[in-house]
Amino acid sequence: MALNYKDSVRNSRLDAVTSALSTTAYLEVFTGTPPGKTSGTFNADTGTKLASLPMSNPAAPPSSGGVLTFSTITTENALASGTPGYARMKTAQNGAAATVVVEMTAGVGSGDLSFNSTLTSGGAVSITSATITEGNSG
Amino acid sequence: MQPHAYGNAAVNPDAPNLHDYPALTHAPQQWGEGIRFAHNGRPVEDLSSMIDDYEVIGAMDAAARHLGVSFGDVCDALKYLRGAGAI
Repeated sequence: MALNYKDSVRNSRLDAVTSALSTTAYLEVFTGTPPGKTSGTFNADTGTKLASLPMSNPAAPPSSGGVLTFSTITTENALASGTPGYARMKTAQNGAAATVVVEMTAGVGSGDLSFNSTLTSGGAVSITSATITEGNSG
Repeated sequence: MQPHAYGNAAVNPDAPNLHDYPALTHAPQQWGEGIRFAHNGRPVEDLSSMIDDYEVIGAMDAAARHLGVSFGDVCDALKYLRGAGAI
């Protein structure tokens, strides 16, 4: 049975993500499968980095109703051509594994971060919306 | 926690479009020029000499002709069979 938290608790859990992202967060997109963790620590990036997009400071306003809605993520040109496989939110651009706060799947028409097409080097990459919804709402 | 995010990627007509080749990349800043394996940046041209050594392409062309399908179909079938442990 899932736990059932009141929304203020759900919001607090989400806002901890915003705090962890700190002031200079980046969303970086890679090819391949998410590297995941070993013994609770994120593994190093794998594959090819397709894009590196600056996030706002703070990355998001306080959560509401158990939903964290990220503020504007700046559009940048793709670093490489390829098919997105996973994305990471980090506390720094090109940050090492220790800077990873959130890891998610990515894809074309699929994944937690869903793109409309593959990325092409030099083509603009924009994030039209990004949220995290906390479960445990009963 | 469940993320939901959507992105748009604009096509750059001057760059390679690898839509049909999800395992490949063109990442000159990270790996250097040329089309490469996205996993580790090895140039796909490295495959050429290996293919020649083992006469792989000739065998796959022959298989495609025999089955009445395309080269790409044979590639897909091999990938499936390999993944299924059948070959």
